[in-house]
Amino acid sequence: MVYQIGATLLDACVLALVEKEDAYGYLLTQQMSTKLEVSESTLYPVLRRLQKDGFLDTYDKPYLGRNRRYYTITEPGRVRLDFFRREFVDYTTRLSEIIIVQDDICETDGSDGSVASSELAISETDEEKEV
Amino acid sequence: MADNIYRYIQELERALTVNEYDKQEAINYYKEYFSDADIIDYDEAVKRLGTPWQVAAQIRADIAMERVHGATPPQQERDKANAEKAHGIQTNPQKTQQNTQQKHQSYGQQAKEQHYAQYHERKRNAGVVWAVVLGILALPVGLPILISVLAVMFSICIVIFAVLLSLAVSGIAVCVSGLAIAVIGAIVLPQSIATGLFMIGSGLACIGLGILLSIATFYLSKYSGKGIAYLFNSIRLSLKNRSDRKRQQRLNEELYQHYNSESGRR
Repeated sequence: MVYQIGATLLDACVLALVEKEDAYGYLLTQQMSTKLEVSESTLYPVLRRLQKDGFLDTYDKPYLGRNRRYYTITEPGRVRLDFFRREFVDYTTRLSEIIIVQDDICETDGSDGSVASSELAISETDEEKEV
Repeated sequence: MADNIYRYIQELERALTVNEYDKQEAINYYKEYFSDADIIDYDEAVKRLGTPWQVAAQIRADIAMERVHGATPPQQERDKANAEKAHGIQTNPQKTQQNTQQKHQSYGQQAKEQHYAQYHERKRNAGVVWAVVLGILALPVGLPILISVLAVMFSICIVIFAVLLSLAVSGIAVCVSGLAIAVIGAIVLPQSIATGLFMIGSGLACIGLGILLSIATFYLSKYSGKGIAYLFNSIRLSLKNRSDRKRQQRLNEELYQHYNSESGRR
């Protein structure tokens, strides 16, 4: 995988995974690494941040004589995920318009296409700043 | 074998120069993680997660970012603004709904932050109370010991200073008397050449001796100054190390019990 995943995308991924079912750190890392190349130490800062911002909550569950910390999504977390999903569709649409079907923009959209691509450039730099 | 992973956690703990709460949370997470992932070897942990310093740096960077941003609200605001820009003009009902949701979100966050602050406050207060109680209880024994230790340190300093001062003074005195002898020798020279030459010679020798003594004193004072600083520093370090060691020992015991219970089950 040549593309870097930024902090915002990681937030979105983790929220989406936790929304499906409550999970503990190792399980989440496994679920992520089946699809993406992420180091096993990537997720802790993400989980910490999401928890601190109130998007995730935690509870402990006994397992083999110790506690396992499960992460669960909060109501603000769902709102956030919703927002991330809408943004993601928008983001990927714009990206693929440029990368996959570049001819379409120039021919069919005309002037609108240039506006869209400049906006994309802005949001991309924002993305980079966050990373 | 299992010792290795303790070392990883110890090093991680040492590298995590953040507040106690965040540190404990992170350590707990990774302890749990290693158990879940069946990582029992230091090298394996490094291979899969990176070195303890790298892991700690990620967490430190995240915490530092928070401090720079203040909290996250500015980012949320920006996201919201971006979203509105991207989606064009939204219909009003939707917008108000989103606003209320945002509000709800920030309330949740506020509560969370308050919780964190309270936790820290309580912890710090408890620490202070304990320190005061222990201090009062230990006063009858501790105060005399503390005073005597300080007195011994003070007297060591004084003794070293006195020796150095006497050396310096004697060096200067020998110099001055040598000069005086040489001058007298020069005065006596016309009357008795032998006595005059003898006195000039011994006077010059005295001056040389005095200069040597002064140089020796200079270096001696330099090194003894360093020595005293080193002594005090090593005392401070050994005190600090002892408390560090105690904490690590506690961690080790905890881990050991944990792994014992784990392997007993398997």
